[in-house]
Amino acid sequence: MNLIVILTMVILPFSLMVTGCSERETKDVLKNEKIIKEGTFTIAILPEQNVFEQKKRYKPLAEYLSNALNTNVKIKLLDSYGTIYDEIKNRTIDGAFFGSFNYVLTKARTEIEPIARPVETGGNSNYKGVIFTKKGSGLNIDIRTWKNKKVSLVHEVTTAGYIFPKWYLKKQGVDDFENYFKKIIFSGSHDAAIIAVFNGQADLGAAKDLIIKKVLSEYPAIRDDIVVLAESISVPSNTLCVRGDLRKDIKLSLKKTLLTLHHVAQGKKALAALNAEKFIETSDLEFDKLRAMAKEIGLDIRRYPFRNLR
Amino acid sequence: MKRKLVVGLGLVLFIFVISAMVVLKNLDNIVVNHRLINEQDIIIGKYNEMLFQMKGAQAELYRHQAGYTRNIDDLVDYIAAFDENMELLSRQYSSHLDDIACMQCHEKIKERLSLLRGIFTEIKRQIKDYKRDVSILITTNDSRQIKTLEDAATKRGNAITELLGTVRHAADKMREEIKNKRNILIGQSRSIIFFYYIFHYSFFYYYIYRCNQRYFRAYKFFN
Repeated sequence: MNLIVILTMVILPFSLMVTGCSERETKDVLKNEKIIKEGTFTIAILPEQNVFEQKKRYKPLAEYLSNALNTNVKIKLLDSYGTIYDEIKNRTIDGAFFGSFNYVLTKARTEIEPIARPVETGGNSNYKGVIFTKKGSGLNIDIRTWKNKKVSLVHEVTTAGYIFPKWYLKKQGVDDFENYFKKIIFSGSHDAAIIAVFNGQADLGAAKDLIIKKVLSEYPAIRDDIVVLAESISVPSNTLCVRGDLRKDIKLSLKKTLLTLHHVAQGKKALAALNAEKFIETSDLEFDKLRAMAKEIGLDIRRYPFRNLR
Repeated sequence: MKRKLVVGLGLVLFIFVISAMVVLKNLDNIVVNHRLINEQDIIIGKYNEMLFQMKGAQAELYRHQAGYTRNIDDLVDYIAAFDENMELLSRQYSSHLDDIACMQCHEKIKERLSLLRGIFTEIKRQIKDYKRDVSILITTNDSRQIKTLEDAATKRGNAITELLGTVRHAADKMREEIKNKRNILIGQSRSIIFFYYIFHYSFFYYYIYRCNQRYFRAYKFFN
């Protein structure tokens, strides 16, 4: 009996103490594998739509190319369509996703090589310029109703956001494009040009059909409020071009990687972020119709300014 | 004597079981509270990071608008990082909204977390508008648009900073409350263990004393 009492007396307090002192340990094993890559390959992106979205869209592609090309592929956002030529000329970028007219202008002054362009989900690798207005604005396809109105364009070096409306009015007999309207707003990106019309800052606008579709899908409330006044011919959508002085093996490797992107699981993810199915080869000849359009409005592509200033 | 001893031992055992249960329950709560404090520390760290990111973005925007730089990558990266942190915090708080363990002890926690969720929704709305405004602001050529959007971006930036300040303050308060609760539980457990020891050894000494008394009585009888 005494033994039981003594054992109880000794064990109980200790067991309570041990309970009180117990500790939960968690061990986190961090696997931090970093592969250091040499060199940087910088690709510039035009602000064709919201710059924050642009960066998000191209990030997976940059990551994929970094691994595939074993170099640091960096995305550089540009704040204006006009800066791309300077960036190429100053060799601060190795390549860029050129807008069609941007490509035509840059190609006329310096050596750049088109590599590939994405095919949007749905199979479209081209786009059209669209002149549009808001329902109830009183404007129609008769350009006389556009006179002395406020127009929202993108930038002077964009096909959809400047060249096409200028060409369209020229075809309709308007030579003085700038003075035909009460005010021209250069919004700097296609979505901003669309928003300006729907915010009432402009009566009509001009932008890329692909971006219009995207904006309308984001804002279903305005889907039925848009009225298309004119549409351009199809031109190649933004094409990845590289500097002409880059090593041939780099160009080939980049082209091969992009053209086989849709065969690889990681590549498919990058394509999905871009809302694209695959990349296709692009040749200089595909831009000839745009060169013809520029010629028809009397534009000298060798002298036409990039209007880099904000 | 034997019956008294059994009753005494039973009482000691009973008090031991009760004390152990209370201490174990407290220990569980202390561990949970400690985890919450660590979580709050991370959250407060994230708020500070987000404040830095928002202010960094604002500074980059002013630099760009003033013409000191054409680089917009830093500005975009600040906001992207801000967005990531925002998502992380939203997920962190949302996970507690359905936490039954939390709801059992704190009636007001759901109300508080819902309030926080409301603030997060407001920040998300503001940041969405901020991104739209800033994106147009850095690309447009129209001076009237620039003026309007600059004002709007500054106002939104300040509103986001203020909202962040509010949630940071709330997180600080919650952290202090949890810390106080944890300290109370630690103190309670210590007291229970201490009083148990007092009771336990009192009984033990009493038992030894009684045994000794019997021994002394027997010794006296034989001598």
